[in-house]
Amino acid sequence: MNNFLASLRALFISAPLAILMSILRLIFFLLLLIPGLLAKLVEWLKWFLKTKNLKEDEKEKECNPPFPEDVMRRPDPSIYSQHYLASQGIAVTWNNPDIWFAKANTPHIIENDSHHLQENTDYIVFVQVHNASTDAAIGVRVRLLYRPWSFNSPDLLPVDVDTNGNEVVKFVNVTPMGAIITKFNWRTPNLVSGEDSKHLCLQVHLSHPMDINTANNVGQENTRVYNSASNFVHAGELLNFTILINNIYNQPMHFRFGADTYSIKEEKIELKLKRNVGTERWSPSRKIMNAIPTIQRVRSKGGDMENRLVFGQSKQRQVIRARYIGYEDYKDKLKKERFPLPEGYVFTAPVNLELNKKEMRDVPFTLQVSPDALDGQELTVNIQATTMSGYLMGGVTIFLKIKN
Amino acid sequence: MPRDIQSYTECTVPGSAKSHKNFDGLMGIIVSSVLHNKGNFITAFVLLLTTSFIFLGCYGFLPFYVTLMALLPGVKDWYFYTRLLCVNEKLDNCVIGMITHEPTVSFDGDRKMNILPAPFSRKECVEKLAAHLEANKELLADNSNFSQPIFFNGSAPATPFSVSGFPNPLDEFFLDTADNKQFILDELVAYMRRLRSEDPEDEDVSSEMYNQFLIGYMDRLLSADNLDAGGQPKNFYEKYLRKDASVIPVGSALWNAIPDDFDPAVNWKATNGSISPLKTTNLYEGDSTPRNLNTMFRFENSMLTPYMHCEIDGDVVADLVDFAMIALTVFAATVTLLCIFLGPLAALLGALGLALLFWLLYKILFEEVGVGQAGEQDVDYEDDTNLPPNISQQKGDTVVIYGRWIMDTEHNQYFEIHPVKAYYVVATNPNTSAIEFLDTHDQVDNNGLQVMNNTLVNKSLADEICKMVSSGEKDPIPEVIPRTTTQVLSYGLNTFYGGGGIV
Repeated sequence: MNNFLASLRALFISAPLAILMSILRLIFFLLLLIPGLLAKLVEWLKWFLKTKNLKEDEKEKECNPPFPEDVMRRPDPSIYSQHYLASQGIAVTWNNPDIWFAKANTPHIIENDSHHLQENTDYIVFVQVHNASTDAAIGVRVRLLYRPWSFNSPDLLPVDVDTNGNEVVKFVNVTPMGAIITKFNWRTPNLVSGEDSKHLCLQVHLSHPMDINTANNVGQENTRVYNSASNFVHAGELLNFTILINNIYNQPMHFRFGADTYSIKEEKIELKLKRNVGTERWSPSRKIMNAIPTIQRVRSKGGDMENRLVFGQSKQRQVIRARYIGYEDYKDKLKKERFPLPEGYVFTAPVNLELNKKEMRDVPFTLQVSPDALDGQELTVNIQATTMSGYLMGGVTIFLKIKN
Repeated sequence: MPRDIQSYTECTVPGSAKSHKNFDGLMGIIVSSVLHNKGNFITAFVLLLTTSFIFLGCYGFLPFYVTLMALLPGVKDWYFYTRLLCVNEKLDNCVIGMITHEPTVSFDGDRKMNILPAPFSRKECVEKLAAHLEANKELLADNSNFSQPIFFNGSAPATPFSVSGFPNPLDEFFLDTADNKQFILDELVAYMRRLRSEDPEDEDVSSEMYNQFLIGYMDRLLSADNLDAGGQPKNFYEKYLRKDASVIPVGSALWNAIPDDFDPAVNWKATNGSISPLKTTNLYEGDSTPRNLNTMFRFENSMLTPYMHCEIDGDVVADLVDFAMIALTVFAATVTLLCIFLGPLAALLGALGLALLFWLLYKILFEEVGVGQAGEQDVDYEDDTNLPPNISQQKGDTVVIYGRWIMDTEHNQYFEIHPVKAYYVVATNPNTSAIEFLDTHDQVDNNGLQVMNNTLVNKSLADEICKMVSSGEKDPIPEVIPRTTTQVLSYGLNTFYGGGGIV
């Protein structure tokens, strides 16, 4: 009986509606046929004039076409990255705000800085990973390496290894525009006999297969490991030190050096959401033919499904992407600012140092502390090595504490 | 941020979901006749058509036209609105896994992909398969278990153990040389194909013994004593692979709407125990014949892994049905009118010619790249800076898929994520397109560095990730956020546009 009633419903309600709809669609089709064909003809003509070819070039059909972008998610894991900032003309420091320390036996006591670490001591290294995208960053790989104090020594070693000697890496998940902290264990190296202290550079490497910007993924932090020597300087003292530089290029290169007193000053900034609307590209002929009506099932306000006559089989899709902006003024301000050494401080470095291809050399520097430096005064000095074209090779940050 | 990818299908509640074998009314009669008595149906159709033209003359095609026009909207409605059963429409559904097959675009415009849910690796899947094979050697060699017509004629398919050179037992498999491993794998693949067999009239149907074997195999994978390196059970995605009573209340409408896929009275891991006598009716088979258990997961024979199927919607079927209705109208009108004035032969030729012309016009005017398909769209952005390059999916990628969890009433009823609303690539396979037998330890040895993969995911990590993904997909993001200069410096004083969504 149900089947019979359903059949009657189909024959006497569904069929007439469907026939009516088809006639309506046919009328529209015929009305739009000429304009549609004309538009198509113009498109073909444009394509022919562009390619000068009657036949479309044979293309191998993609066996794995690109994935729909409106479904794909694009995170941006990031960390304070000196090279990336310097490439934009921004002053940088190697006192990385995203890397800090605590002794393993007192994990809740954060070290004031990384320039007073003790040798042969277990530390926890905290690494803060940001996500500068409106999409979550899932499975960001974090590596922590260290190398001798240098501008860019190639000897990178993992900070933490497992019992098999393999590097320990961490995987973190970061919410959109959020941050997360991960930890590594590090036993600081012993100093060799006669060594007062040793400088080491820590480097964090972030990676993610969908990273929308890989330039902000490497951050460095200078550290200094002590035995028991003092780290104070006095007014008028001449500091002598050497820093290793490595010519990574396959040709002789010239380098120059500079010093500044830049350090990050924390201010508040408001970031605003900016939307980027993308509209699906439709040819004129498609727009014309899309005017043909159809019956679509849509959800009413009450939540029920209902049939509705709509003009336009498909909708020209709009895709929204988003990011946050509002840092531009701060960036412009930073680009214009300079951070010279205070009066009385003199930095001396080789001028136009030439290195052969792949050569590594210890470069001597001096820093004259001002004779007028006051007791208790603290100063941060960043020393950068750049190529003659201005590309940052590396840098170090020195902390000075005056004790007269 | 909230974004809802445009989807064309809707899932429906228990009681409303139906397969093509459940059609009622006129459609039901026709489908049933075609399925169960094709010969008689064709005969009846030809007789009816002939009789119609004899008695109605030039108007003889019209009854068929009206019938088809009555049926086609129902086909469209069914395909998009009652074919899929909602398993959990309201709650977030997220699954982490490894892509086991490059995605394909099918005839209906859907983009299809298969994933092996975490925390299983291909290595473990094959190990468990080998173990299950060994445990059920006698069962699989017993001819009395293979009396299912169409698939087997009382003869068990040759087991791999009967193949010369195949190790017995399989314990040494993973210690063997690469050539021997490949030989063993090839034999396992060939055996699973033989065990599955096929019904020439329905490629989705597999043999009962194949299903029984896989049910027992899945029971090994999902066993509570199958623990990861941290001592945690690996069965946290059981709900996507098997009807899970902790997620779907037993006896509820939803529970009853999903075919039985497990028999708790059987010790599936016992020697020769991978078989159950339990037979129940399957609502979607169109009859009340009791049937053996039906798996809710699919099995990739070539990879020897189970997988969950996922799809992004396309609307090609809607376009096809709409076009077919216009074409039928044109044909019916033409054949009737021309017949009245020029006779039946001229009418038929003219109508066919016009239909051909109509098809040609359709191809010219409507077929552009990607129309109706779930593929990459050409999109013009207001701001075309800071946009990412196109990306393809790769076999072996570890991904997080977010979307609606349904059961497809077709294809022998499987769980699916359909449509996929968000896709997060977490790691790419370090061995390009080959999925090797790598787990975490092997990958470290081979590559010197760990990569994210299925085996690193446990329940708490899966929950954390899914919570983050769900929040990212549904929660509104603020128009303004307070930050510090330190934070924006950590971003690199530059931001890029994230993934897109639909307005």
